[in-house]
Amino acid sequence: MKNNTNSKNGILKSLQGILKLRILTIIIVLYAIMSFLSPTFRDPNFFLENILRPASIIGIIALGMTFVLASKGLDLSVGSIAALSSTIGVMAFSHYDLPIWLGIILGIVAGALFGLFNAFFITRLKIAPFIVTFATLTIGRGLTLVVAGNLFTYGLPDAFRDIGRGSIIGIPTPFVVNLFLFALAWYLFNRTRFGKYVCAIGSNETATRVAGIRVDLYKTYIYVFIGILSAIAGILFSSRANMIAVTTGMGYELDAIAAVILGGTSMAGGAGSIPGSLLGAIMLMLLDNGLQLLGINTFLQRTIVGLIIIIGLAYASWQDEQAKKSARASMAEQIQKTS
Amino acid sequence: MKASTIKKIKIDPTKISLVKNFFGEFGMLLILFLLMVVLSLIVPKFLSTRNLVNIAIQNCTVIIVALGISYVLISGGIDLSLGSVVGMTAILTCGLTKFYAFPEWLAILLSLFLSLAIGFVNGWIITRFKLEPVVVTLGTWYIVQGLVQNFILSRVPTAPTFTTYLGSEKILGIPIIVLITLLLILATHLILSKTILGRWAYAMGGNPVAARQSGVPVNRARIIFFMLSAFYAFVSAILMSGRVFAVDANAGSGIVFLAPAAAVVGGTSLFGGRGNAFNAVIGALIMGVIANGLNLTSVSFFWQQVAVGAAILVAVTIDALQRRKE
Repeated sequence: MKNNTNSKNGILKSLQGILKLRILTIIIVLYAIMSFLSPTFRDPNFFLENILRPASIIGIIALGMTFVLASKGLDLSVGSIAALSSTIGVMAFSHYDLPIWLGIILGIVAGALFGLFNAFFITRLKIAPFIVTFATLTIGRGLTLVVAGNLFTYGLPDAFRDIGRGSIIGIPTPFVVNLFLFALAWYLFNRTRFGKYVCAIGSNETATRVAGIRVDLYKTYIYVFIGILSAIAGILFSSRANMIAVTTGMGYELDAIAAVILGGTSMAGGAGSIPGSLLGAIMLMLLDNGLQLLGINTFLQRTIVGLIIIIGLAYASWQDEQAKKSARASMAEQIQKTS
Repeated sequence: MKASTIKKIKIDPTKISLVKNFFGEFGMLLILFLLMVVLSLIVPKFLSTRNLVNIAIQNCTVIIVALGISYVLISGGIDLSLGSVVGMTAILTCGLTKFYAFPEWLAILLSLFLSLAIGFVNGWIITRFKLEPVVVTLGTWYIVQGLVQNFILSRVPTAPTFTTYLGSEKILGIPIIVLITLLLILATHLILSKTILGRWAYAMGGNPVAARQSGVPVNRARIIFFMLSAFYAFVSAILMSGRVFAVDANAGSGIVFLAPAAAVVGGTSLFGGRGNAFNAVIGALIMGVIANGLNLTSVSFFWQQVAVGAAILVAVTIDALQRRKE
């Protein structure tokens, strides 16, 4: 058993070493290759508008997903949360004539409540997060349709549209929001008790509980937190798209999980990397644009993301194995020498 | 000690007595029964033979995939790639015969081979590199789905003759789909309860370390279970494409989470060690009956989705409360 834990930790460490540090290198290399292949990529505006702006949506959700995966949980409902909360928020001001800021707050509150709903089933009834959030994914998607009444609602107020399409000192507003939330998430994850408990829950929930830590309370925080982040992402998306669509957020759960894994967080729980997740989201968008540019069908983007995930993880695990082997060999040598 | 191992030890199959197991199953069967009573009171049409046959036919796809994933779930894993296996089989079988003049048997054989290969690769990567099944199968799902969608694009091929025959004809008044499904239910039940494969699955899901120590070839067994689940997905895809006549790029995408959810709603544990063939069938039928009932009452599709999700939550809540009592 001890051995098993060691190898898991080893995998994690090397994974972080490889992916967290190297993801930046990978991004730079990818960007360099693409800029070499196409002049459009060399335009800094292109990077801001076509990569950072769209990447912010998944980037924001990925921050929360890092907490969820580090605690060995799972949240499949993020896309539905994004759709439902943005629809509630937008309907509040476009149909019920509330001020826009109030609509946005309502949307975020809806996201928090959605997360609380998930957390209730996960913590009180001890149902696997996978099943709970799959059920709420379906419920949320259905409710979105009920609330919206239409498949699409176009033409939102200009003031709202400008949030998603605007820029602050040249930086796209969604990315500014993403950076702000990144700082918050980084602080929570690395500098607070909450962050430590998240990892403790992920590496050994029973021991954490036995140690007197209120596991259920912290789990609730995690799911409410990702609920709020998903709501913000959904609102930013509908603002940028200038419409609410029932298809908003479909597949976000997988993109967010992919971004987090690319960023070096393991699904085995116990550790995570907030900067890695942010970079993971950017890398996904870079790939998306790069493949389009090379004239490769966007369907294949999924294939490549899948390949990167599997090969990345397998490579990390293999390296860990080699390291252990050589350690064992040198130990055997020492034993031979001493005897 | 990892949290997962502790959880797995907790649900040791030997500790759950047969009686409790029976009541666990019985509970979900009761819910299914009550659902049907309520629906037949609200909608008289519900109990008509035609509608019941419809429910059976429509849910065969999910039932078969849920049966297949039961092996993986019971042995303590999960397989998210089955939706893409279903999509790939359906699209290759129909697409290759329709657009590339493949003989049907060859297209089916190729799909079968690739399905088994996907199962093998899943199992091999998971055991060789000691990785989490969720991530690996998520990865293969992405890979296969991307490739398949890139292959078919926006074309919508129709099903070839033999597949259509399997999907729409009847023998002795019973649809072939239903016959095959019944056969698979029986086979799964026998494999899980009477063969060494079944014993391996429960042992691995209950306590993988103990299973390995007591001589279960854990790695080989895991690969076999992933290949089995892929095989079931293959069968269900052939039947599905025969039933719906034509498939598009999104074929099978709904099944990814639906199949494990069906098994779990029926009472199979997501942590391994507990479950059986009937759990998968009952879970799939509960969700199918709800969808059908709402369809008949002409409730909008929006609310149908809400209801299916709510049903999953209610079912697992009841299960959770029951387990807490124990």
